[in-house]
Amino acid sequence: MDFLAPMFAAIGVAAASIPVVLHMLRRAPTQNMPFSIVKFLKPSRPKLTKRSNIEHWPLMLLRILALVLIGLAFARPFLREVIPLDLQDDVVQSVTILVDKSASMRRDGIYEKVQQTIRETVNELGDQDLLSVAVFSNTSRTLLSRERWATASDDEQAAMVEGVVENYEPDWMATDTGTAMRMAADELAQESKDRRKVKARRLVLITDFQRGSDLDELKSGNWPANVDVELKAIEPTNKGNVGVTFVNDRRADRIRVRVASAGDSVQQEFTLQPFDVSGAAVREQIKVTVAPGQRRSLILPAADPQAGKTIAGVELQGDEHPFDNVIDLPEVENPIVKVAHIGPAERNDPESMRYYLQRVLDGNVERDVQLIDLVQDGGVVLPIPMDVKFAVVTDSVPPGLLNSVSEFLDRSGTLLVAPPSVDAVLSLKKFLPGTLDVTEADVDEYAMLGKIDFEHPLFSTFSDARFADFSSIKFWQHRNLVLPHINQTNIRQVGGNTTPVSDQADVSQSLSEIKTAIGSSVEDRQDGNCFVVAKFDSGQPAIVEVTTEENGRIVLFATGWHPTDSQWALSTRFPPLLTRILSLASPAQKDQIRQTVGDVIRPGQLVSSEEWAVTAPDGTSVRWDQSPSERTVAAGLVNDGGDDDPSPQAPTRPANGQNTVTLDQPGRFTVTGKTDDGEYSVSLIAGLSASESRTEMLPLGQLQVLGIGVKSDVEAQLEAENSSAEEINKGQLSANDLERKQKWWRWLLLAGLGCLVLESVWASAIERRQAAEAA
Amino acid sequence: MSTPSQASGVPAMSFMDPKVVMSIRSLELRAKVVVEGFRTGLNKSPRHGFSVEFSEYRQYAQGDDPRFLDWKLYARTDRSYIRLFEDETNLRCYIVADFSRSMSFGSLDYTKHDYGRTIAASLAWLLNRQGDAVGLTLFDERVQMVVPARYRLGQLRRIMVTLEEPTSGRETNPEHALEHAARRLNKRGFVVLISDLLAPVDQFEAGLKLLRGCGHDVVVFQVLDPVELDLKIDGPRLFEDLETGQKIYADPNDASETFVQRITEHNDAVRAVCEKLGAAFVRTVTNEPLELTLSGFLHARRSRR
Repeated sequence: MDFLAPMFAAIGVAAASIPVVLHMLRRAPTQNMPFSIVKFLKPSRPKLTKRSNIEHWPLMLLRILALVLIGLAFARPFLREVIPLDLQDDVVQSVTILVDKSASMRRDGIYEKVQQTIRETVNELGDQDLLSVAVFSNTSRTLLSRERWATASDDEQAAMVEGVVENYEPDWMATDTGTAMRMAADELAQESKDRRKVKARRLVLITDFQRGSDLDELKSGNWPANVDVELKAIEPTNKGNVGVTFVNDRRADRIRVRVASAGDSVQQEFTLQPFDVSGAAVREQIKVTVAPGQRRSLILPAADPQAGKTIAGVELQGDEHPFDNVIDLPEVENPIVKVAHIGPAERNDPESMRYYLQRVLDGNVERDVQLIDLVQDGGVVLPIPMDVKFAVVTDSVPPGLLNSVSEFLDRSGTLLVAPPSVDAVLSLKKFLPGTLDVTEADVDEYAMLGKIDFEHPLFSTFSDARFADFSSIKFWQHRNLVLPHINQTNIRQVGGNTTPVSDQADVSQSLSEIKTAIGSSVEDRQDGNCFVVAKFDSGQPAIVEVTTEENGRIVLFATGWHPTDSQWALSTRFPPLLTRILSLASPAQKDQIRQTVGDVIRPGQLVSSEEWAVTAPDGTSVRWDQSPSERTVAAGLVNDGGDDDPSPQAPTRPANGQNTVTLDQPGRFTVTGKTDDGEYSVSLIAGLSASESRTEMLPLGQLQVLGIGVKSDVEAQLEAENSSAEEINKGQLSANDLERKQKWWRWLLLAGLGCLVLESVWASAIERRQAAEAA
Repeated sequence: MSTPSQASGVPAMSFMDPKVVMSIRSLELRAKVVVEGFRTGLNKSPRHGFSVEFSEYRQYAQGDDPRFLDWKLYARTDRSYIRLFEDETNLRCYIVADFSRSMSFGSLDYTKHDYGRTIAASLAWLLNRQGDAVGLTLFDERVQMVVPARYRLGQLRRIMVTLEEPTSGRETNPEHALEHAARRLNKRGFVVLISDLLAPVDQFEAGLKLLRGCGHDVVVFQVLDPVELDLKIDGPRLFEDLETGQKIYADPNDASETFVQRITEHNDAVRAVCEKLGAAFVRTVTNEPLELTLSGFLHARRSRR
């Protein structure tokens, strides 16, 4: 008989002497007695007693036997017997290679090592071994299943492995190592039940094992006992990493970022370089000193909106691993909306248009609006400030301002023109369609708004029949805007039902024709677009919208709103219309949403539309509309996972009509939805998970601490060196297998416990008998 | 050494077994049982006071109150006499009981503490029924609790409740308790000390001397367990002192002779101090009937007069 752990057998035999020794021990009587006058007692010398006679031999033997049996059970005894290995020759091992592809794997040197490690691991496999390969970051995905591996020929297997190696590419997600390991182990354990031949299950984990890895999933539940883990930790060429992340600050006018250095960083001095939308550097660099393992947050200096430079992001320079060094930042919302005014700066003249404009803007409860007069007293003309997105023209534009207006339109500005005279329109002719002819209209008593396009964003808020009555506004005089080719498709009569007007010759031309017509006479605005939004009852245009190539917009009224021209300013329709134009020109930026890479969004909910498009930072886009056949999907955005095919999957339409998009890269995503009011955009800024910047390696024993038997690379090497010794016993089962098969320890332990129970019963019987005799 | 049974001349077998008495849980009922049959009448007050009932004349001495001079007699006899009257107040008695930890020893089913407080309760009950003012003082190394001597409704109940206190303290020192009783008794009174008196004799003697010096009558009950007299215990033991915690390993077979000699010397010294100072001494062993102890008390009182 042999023992797997002979030391326990020796301990058991040694322990057998304990009852005898205890029995033979000399001891003094220690019966205590409380007494009142100890001082009168003469101390005696304690008498030691020695029991040399064993009174109950059977009891003593039972105790000895119990200890010996339990000791032998722990020694794991087995009988040597020869079991030919050919009976076991169909033993195969099932291996799952789990490869980390999180953002931290983008560090220099890791990519090549991962590919090499995968190849080495596959080369170690036997012919009959089963292989599965999965990659994981925040989710895991099987690239190569055991079924495909088992049915493939050798060449096909080699091709499959090479395909996996070549297609390996880290993504931008966080690392959830725990969940990936748990899923792989469960799958591996389940596999072993299905295949009786499989005698060894091994999970090979190829990862940088960074501190930011999420191992929480491993803390609950037991690890499958029959699944071994082999950790192959990959180190980058250079250790250390520093990352920058955005920090939410309650004050809207601040940008706070956090610079975190990994514990194994060497360098401490870095610089932060803010950049604007175009990627050009804004302001000077900011020096940051961060000690290894420390974090530091700092507030970026405010950008200079006057100069048109807003901070769109920041780049950390000085770090050797750039994967987490660039972040996009939300635009700082200016709490005050500025509106430029080109016209007489008379503030208190009720005959001027500015008087009414000021009152409308002052009544805006949502935002503070500041009206800036560009034409100062004395003929001084100021350019349109860079942070102004809405300008109102109430008089002829001075020639000195035309360049500024041109730049303003290039910046997607909105110009509202309310000409008090024909000259005022003509001063802007450079920006208007060349075919536009302007004359003073001949108005018989007064004119009214006859037809309004309530589907146009300007008037969409009035589309309800309760608000659609503009007939009470009288225009004493107006300009006649003559547009030979006008695009107007659906104009409703004021106060009446929608009336298709496609039969009208002047509004039925297609958009391309309009562009051609405009482009033939305008040098700079050849691709402009022109719409008649409203018409007088005489059929002449009342409001015309001209859009430019750079999304600039001119809203041209045919009249002013001052009392000389009309009653418009006194109408209840006037403030909401101006406010509507202002909100379209300077939309609130509250819809900038911070997300983390890996988050799943529902674009349809964000823009409240069934028809949406998501544009990723790299320019790819996902589009979705009501017709599934019309949807287009760009690569990389949607990750439904769980398939052998490594290529991204197209989104599938769920039952509720919504769909999800995974933010799979850092940067600025734009979700655009089409609504009745036009297009509505939401900006999403996806930042890298902060945990990915914590790149210092976890202790290799971390998995063992969590109760998972792990062989690190070093242990695996030692095991390989010792494998030659095992070759000797290749002809038969190993001692472990023999012991596991015979399982003698169970019977020995049972017998030992039985002895203890018998001894207890016997001893209590003897005690009771003695007590009865004494009584 | 005279035991109460020997002193009263009554055979011990005719009394109730102390084991039975001690099995009565209520201390008051226990006292009543013990005292039953011993109400032999009121005690005469030990001192003369100034009252309506004339007692005798005494020649005036310096320091006497001149208000009590019998002027008529002075006119007749030309001598100064003072009229003495039967004191209106009955006996003022303080029971000073030892509650030190040494009293918690007992080789029987009950301890010296149980036995001693039964004596105290019985005496209190007896004296209260006679109309005497009874007080109680509990002590260990210092005075722990005091019930002032009164004769009023509820006084007996207060004493009984106080006697329910457990033993305490690390030492026995009757000197303070006796001093305290002497201070409390501003008139000549009666003090009953119930203790095992295993403390040094000189402490006990100092307190007793003070009481006697004040003119108070003192009766001393020394309560001992039978084992404390003969050390009849089977086998060697590790004896642990109840008060000091001192541990001594001793074999009674070897140590009993010395022990008996020492305890006898101590007890003799206690008795000698009592006799020297004129205090009645009653030694009672806890296996003796309590009635005998009370008989011994009455005998001692009678002999004092």
